[in-house]
Amino acid sequence: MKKNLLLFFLFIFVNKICAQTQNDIKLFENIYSTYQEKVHYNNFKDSQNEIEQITGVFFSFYKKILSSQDANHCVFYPSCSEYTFQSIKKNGVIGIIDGIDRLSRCNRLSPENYKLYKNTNLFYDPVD
Amino acid sequence: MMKYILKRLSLLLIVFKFILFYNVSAQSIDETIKFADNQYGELNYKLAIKEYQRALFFSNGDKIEYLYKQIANSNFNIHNYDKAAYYYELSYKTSYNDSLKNELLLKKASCYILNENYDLALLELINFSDSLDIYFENRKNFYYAVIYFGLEDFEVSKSYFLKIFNDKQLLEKQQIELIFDKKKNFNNPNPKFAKLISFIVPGSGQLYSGNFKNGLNSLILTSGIAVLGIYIAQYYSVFDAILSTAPWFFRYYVGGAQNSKKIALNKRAKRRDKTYKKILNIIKTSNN
Repeated sequence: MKKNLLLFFLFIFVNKICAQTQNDIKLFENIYSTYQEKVHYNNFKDSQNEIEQITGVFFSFYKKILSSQDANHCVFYPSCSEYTFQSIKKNGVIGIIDGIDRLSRCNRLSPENYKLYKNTNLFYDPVD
Repeated sequence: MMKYILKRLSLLLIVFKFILFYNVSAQSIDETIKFADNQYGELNYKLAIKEYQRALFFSNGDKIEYLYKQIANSNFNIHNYDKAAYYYELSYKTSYNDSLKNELLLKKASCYILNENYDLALLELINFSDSLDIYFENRKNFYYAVIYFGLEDFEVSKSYFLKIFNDKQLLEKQQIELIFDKKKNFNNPNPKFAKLISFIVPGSGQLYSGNFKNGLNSLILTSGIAVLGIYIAQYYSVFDAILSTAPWFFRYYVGGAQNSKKIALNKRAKRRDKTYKKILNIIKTSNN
């Protein structure tokens, strides 16, 4: 009788261990998934007009061929090229001027004007 | 005169009504906690934190341990791990129940782990007493294993992962040992080596890390600029060649080498994550 009781309690206890470890596993399951997934720049595919299409092709070429070989120098998030492309998509040709303005600000001389993006040391400056 | 009396009377009425209303509607601490618990139950954690803090401010110290724990849990659920760790610590200090204290220690350690602050998590686990029951011993070993994995001390991590299994689970232990014996799972590709060979032959670091497109791109781009420089040097002058192509060449030559290191690091992190998930899967299935 005693043995049976002991086994019963042991069974309950072991179940408790398993359930708790399962919770811990779930909690820590993705802590090492910190790697970056590949970003595909095919922005010209969803273009609305010719200007967007042309800038989209240039942007994709720049991102895939040239920028991918460059070290990270841009101090902003999104980067200056992405910002210009987004701005052109939003404002049309005026977006190019917006992009030139952004390039002129691409330095660390006025950090007080920007918030930092997440855990990086990049300034957060999205297209409004 | 009548007007004056009426004015006075209505003012008095307002004052009395206000006092009455105030007495009726003033929340007791228990009601505030109940409201906060409801918000917590409805996953409205930000409001729950506000209400728990209000209760904490007005409380006479009765439910202080519960309030600290609930504030910590709420912060934990909105991924505010720094604050959660702080309140778990306060709850730990005000708690007298040993098993609750152990639970709080684990919670605090998990906050540090999720914040990738493995050293602090390790320090937290040292606070455990030596005589623990199987339940906490098992969980403590799992936490140690995860922390040492994060600290890249894979041998120690392996020893703690093995401790999770009992003597009868030989197959699982063997599987874990096999995974840890393959050094490739943890150390490949080597980022320093990738950077070094990229400096010798542009693009080779990326090829070594398995990113063929990027490697080929780097090789063609840098060699293309170099060929252009030679061409300019032949037809114009060496000075012209340096002036026009050297900045571009060094930009993509150095950038390529730095990229190869980044790609290798990323690939290694991906491989480690895959290995880690394999280990967790073994533990999961063994528990089922």
